Amino acid sequence: MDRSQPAVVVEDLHRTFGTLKAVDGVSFSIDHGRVVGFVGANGAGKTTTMRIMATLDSPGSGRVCMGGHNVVHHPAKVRRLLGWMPDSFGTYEHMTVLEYLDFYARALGFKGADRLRRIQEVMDFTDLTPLADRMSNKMSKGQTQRLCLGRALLHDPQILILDEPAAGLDPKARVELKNLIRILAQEGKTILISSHILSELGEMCDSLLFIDKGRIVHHGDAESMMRGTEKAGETLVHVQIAGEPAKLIEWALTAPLIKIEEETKRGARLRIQSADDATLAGVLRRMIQDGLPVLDYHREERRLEDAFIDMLGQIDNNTFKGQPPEVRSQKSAE
Amino acid sequence: MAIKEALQSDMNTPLPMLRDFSDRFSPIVVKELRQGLRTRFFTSALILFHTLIILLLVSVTFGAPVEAVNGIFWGIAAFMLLAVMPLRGFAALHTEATDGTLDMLTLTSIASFRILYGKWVALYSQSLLVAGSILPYMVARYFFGGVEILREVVALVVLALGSGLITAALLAFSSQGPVLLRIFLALCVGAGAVPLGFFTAFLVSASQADSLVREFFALDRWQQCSIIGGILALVVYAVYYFLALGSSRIAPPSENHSTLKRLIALAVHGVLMVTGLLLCFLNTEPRVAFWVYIPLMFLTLIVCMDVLTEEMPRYPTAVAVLARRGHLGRLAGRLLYPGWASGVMFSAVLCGMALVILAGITLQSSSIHWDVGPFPPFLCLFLAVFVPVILRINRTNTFVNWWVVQLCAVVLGIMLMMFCFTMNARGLGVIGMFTPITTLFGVECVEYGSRGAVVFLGCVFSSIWLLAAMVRATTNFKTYSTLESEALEHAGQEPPSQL
Repeated sequence: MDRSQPAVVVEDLHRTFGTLKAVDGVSFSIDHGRVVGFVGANGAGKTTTMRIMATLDSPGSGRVCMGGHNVVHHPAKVRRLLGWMPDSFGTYEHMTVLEYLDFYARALGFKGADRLRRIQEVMDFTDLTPLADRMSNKMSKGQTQRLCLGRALLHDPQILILDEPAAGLDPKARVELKNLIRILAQEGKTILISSHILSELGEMCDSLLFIDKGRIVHHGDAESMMRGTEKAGETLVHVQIAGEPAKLIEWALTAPLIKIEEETKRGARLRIQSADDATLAGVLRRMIQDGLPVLDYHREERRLEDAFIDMLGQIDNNTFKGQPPEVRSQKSAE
Repeated sequence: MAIKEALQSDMNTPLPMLRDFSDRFSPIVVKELRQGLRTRFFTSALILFHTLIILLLVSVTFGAPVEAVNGIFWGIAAFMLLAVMPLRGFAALHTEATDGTLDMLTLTSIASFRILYGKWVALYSQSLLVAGSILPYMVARYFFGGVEILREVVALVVLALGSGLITAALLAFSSQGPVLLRIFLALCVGAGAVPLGFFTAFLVSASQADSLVREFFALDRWQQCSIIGGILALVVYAVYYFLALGSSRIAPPSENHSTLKRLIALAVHGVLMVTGLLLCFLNTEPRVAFWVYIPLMFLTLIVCMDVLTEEMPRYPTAVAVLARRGHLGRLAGRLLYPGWASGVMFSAVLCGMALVILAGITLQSSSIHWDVGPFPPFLCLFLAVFVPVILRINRTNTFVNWWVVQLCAVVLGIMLMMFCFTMNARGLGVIGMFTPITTLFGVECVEYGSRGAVVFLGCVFSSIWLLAAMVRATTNFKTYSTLESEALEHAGQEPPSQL
């Protein structure tokens, strides 16, 4: 695969079911080795887009290329590059974990000792070795999810599409899954993850794609989303000091570029008229030089969920000005 | 490899080697056998079956009549092989689809036919296991008397072949979502199994079966081989076709699973047509050709139902192979591309081939006439397959639509008959002429003397359905033209001129 080209290119993708426009002109591209979150409400078009990317559904119109191969013309080549983890777990009755992976490894063409070695690698990676003899449909959700991830990794795919991988998992299982995805990202795999648990997406992903009513409405990183309430060129910071907060208020009233937004129990929310990191650091330095006993100084960030809900509200009111994703076209090996 | 490094410190626990199946087995067969042999249904059915048979044999020692025991023995065996075992395929594909495992199988690039074939092999091998387990009881019954070994072996082979055929049919229909449709289709398949049950009963209990066996052994060796080979070939083809039918329903839309299936169907139906015509024209008794015509008729109806209910293709890859072969290839595509539109033309060809045999029999036989003979009703039967192309009761699922339209036609026909007989207005049977199926019912209502005229008119009216279906198909050929252009553009060839 040519790693100078994007790993995934989706151009003007449309898909309708009867009269319902499930996907309505979706375009984006993902570079190799990037982890991208796919965010949207239920029915926004995430799963349909992902299924088309995985060759499991056909585009109404538009072009989808995975690793340089068009999903319409070369589905078999795309499948070899792709690991797919659906939102439904898809395990079998009366099959142990080992037999389940053995079946998929056989189906993917692994033979003899190679097959066993590959299964061993995947089971160790997903920490399923102690569960080798457990019936695959009698495991916890977290274990089942790890099994599904293991299945998706059997052929060492370069692109992973994970549809709601953390749905229904307990916090411990989520952390385990997050760690596995982090390792895969470090290995340079291109990963597209859809999830409702946005805080986790923010931690795992390099960027986020927001989809609503079949259209990509915004593309950006989690940090910029969380800072979305700030006006351009301003930053909100939370400051806590030891002792009376009046000292901080008094200092802020005389300091340049700073306005008091709100007094809090142990400090204040301050609006600094700059978004520059160096200026923010300079403000902190001056506080300390001026003898303020600063305990906490951090940029205010909304929860990603709040930012997403705000964004949906703005879309409904037609006041949202989203950042469309940059689409790098690809020299296709179609 | 990526994961290896993450594991360097953790690769410690060696896995137990799975040695139950070698690499030579298809992955699907391995999976299905591992699952199937562990299901409670299989183990319970097997234990219950053997318990019943043992109790039955023990009852002979307490004075139970041997003939009755033999009848019950074969009844249980037939029920097990023709109903219980094949029924395990009833929801096989639908469950895979709803559980999301079919998608994952698709992504492994296992061909959909291999999925069906693997499932069939696994289910059928379990049926053969049951059939094989009957053999010791047959030997035990031999000592009680009243057992004709040869006839019983033939009966067991008939049951085993029937079991394979029914399993394939149920597996194919399990690709359908609506459970009511699957139940209806299972009942249809069950109705097809009843003659097999009767034939088995005839073989093991009727003394006339002896004369049948004697007649068979009186034939020349080549005749015996031809009959056995012909029956086996037909069963193999029918099993193949059912599996191909199911596989084309679960295949990704980018793949073409129709052209090969249709080519094989054309070849088989062609061979059967030629065989039928040879029997007509070279035999002193042309009616012998019915032995070829009857299976050909059933096969034709199944193939027509299948190709007329295929979705139109959406991917250029589905037409690419034939599209690249120039005008001739694209012309052949109008017969062989996936989709109901080419299916109309293909069905017309197959129905024509079947009717040629019937025409041959009618021509050669002095006692069979064109007007009141078998030709007109069978022509109506074949024309009936095209009606759902025009009548769309269910617009989203062409397969469901086909069966619903046929069922409605049968219900209307029965109602017409009831009306004619209860109102004593038999002449009103002519109303049935407007659809092929109702024609068949309407003809039964009218006076015997006018049946020839009514059935002739019915055929004429029914032909309008075929013409309308052909017109509709031709207008939909533009879908093929568009896909051909895309396929050729992709291959770097000039777009085709309009056919």
